[in-house]
Amino acid sequence: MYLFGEIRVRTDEKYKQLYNDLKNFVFRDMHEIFFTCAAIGYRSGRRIPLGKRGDDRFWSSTITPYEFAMFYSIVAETEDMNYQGLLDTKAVVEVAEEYANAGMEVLLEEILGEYVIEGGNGPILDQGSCDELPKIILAYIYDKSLSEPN
Amino acid sequence: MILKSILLENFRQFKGEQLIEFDSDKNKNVTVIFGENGRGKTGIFRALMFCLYGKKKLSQDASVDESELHLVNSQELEDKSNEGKPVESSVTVEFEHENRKYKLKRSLLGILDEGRVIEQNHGVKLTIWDEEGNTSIKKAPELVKERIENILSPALREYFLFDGEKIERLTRASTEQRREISQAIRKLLNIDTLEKVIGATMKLSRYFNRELEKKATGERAAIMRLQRKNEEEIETGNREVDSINRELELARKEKIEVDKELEQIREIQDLLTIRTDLEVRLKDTEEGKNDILRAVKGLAGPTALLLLRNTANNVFQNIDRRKQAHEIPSDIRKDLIDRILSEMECICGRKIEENSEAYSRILEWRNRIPDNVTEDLTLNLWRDLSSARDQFENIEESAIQILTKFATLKNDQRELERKLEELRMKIGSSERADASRLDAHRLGIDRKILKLQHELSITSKKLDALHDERRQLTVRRKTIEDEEGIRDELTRRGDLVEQSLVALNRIHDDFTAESRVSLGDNASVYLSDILDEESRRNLKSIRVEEDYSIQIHDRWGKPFLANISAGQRQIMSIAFIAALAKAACGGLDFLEMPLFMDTPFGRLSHEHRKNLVQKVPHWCSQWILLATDTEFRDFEAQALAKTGTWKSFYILSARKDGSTEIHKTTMEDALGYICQKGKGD
Repeated sequence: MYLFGEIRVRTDEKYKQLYNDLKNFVFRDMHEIFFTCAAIGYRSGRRIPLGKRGDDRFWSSTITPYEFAMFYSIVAETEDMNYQGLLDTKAVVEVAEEYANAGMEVLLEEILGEYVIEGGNGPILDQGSCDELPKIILAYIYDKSLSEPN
Repeated sequence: MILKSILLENFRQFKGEQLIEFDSDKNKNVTVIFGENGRGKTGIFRALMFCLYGKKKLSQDASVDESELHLVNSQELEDKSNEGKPVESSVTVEFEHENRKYKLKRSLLGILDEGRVIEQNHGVKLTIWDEEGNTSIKKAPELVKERIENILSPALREYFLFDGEKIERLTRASTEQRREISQAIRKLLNIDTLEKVIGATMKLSRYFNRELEKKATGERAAIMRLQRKNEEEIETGNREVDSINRELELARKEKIEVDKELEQIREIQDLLTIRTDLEVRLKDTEEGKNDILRAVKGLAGPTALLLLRNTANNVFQNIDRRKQAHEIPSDIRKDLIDRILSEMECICGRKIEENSEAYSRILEWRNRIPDNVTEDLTLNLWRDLSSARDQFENIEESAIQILTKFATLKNDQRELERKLEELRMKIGSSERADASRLDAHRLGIDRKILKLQHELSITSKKLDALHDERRQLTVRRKTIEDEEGIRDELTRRGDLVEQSLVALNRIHDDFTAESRVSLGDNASVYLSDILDEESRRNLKSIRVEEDYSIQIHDRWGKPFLANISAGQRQIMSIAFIAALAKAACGGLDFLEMPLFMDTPFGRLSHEHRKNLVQKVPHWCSQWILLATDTEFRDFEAQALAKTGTWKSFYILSARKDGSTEIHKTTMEDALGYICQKGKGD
């Protein structure tokens, strides 16, 4: 039981369409994409504040307890195992947003680059080339989970 | 004819110039050319046939389109095509015949044009040296053809220069085969000339009959009219028989062609069935892949949890350690400490001084204890992480399983696609062929053949009746002429012509029958020379039947061809070929012709091979044997060496560029080489 109400989870506005595409092709829901990106960003040690480019993407209520547990763990680890941070769920989500923002950048650099095209407001999936993308991303996530974090 | 040498220049597998000198001494008359399959033995046989007769196709190429047969060496063509130059390919054969020396060179020009080989004749030159050393040169193809065919006619050449295919075909009792043998026998015996004389005599007989008919009266005139009518009917009947036979032959050939097409289609039909099966499997595989991709959609998110496995473990262990240390949940509640601090009195009643050591410790203690909310949250986190950690293994296993399954399906898909592509290449355009249409057509041909056979039978019976009638009419006319005492000059001449015709026909029939018997007898002698002991006990003689098919008789004189083995059939063919060659040489015991045999041992037993290599050198003036490493082994080589007739040995070996090189060696070295090769294999 965590202390949070409904929080709007934001992503960089340029990733709006990419989140929609990934939800259609690879993941079941936005929170899964967001979590994956946050985990990749955290492992890569990269964190990019959203600033004014933040754009509401989904409600935090869809985030699963396990995912939340991981976000809290990130915050606890980042703050040298101080659990006071757990009290401010919004702050926890903001930290996750920054890691997810950087994580999407890593994802684009390392794997998604060849499956996206520029869609005007940001990258979008090139649907003609992403038949096997779910498997490619799964393999990428799994392989990455076996490697040492940066 | 004695072959002296053959020089190949950029011909088939033979790049550059390569020479074979044939042994032709009286006592050393055997040359062995040895090579593995595909190294060019048949290329040498082909070169000889090409040089002597300008013939590109061999009997084994029956189903190959001549335009697909290329004689110019392909490596040389590729080399020269880069320079845009044509390649000259030639074969030069030197031989002796009836005290004259001959050198025949036939050339081709080849060029590679956008991957397509274009070949054209580039001349022929025959140089002849007579006994006095005078030289004459012939370059006109017709003159060269005439000269060569006089030495060895095309009807006979296949009985001196032959390959395994020819041997195989010889004992088949097909119309074509029978005609081929009949032509060879007629050519051998010069029956053509006799038949021309018979034809001319028949014309003369008809002339006399017409003249006599004009002067005849009464019953004699009536009989002569009947005779003329009978003659005309016989002629018509003969023409009909010829025509039916031609039609039959065409129908049979057509049936063979249709069968070939059907065979091809049947092969394709099998391939089409395999293709359908592969396509179904490919579809299943693709569906399996799609199922996996759909399943992956539900797995990517949970699998991402694994990315933070270390973080989750660290945090879990940290909380766990703090739990173990009873830091959480804390033993003393924070509100109790707050009350002690506000009342400045311990629960034991002792007063606490501000800024005292006890006060500082209580303050420090208070700061270390999380508030209730944080503590609850931390414990919640501990429980969730504990549960998440339990899931990691399942998630990981699911990811591995699904990725492995996908990889397997992907491999299956690639393999199936590769097989399908191969099948598509094999099936090609003939897929469009309509098997049912061909089947119907074949049925039509079968009916036509049956109808023609029926017509042939009726016409033949009609002809037999006409011949009977003719004989009766001749007797009746003769009787009347005798009774009426008609003995004028015209009648006498007519009689003479008629008697000549009967005599000539009898000579023709007797001569061919005798030749057939003689050929059979000679073939039987050769047969007994080379048959193995077991076969000799059962197989007694070869007979050339009236229809020119070859038959073998068993010891009880019964036809036995249908029961002999493939090897015995080959031996029988070789014996018959030797008998034909003997007849071609005027019945001499020793053939003044080379026997050029390409791969003749294919199906022969050891004993047959041994007999063959021991006997053939003594049958003919020259034996050139082209043999593979599988049919001419240590055993055969030793047997041949024992005859004392073998001198030269040529090995056909592969060069790095795939062309063939001819090495000459002696018999002694050959024996070592073959023995070594046998051990190596």
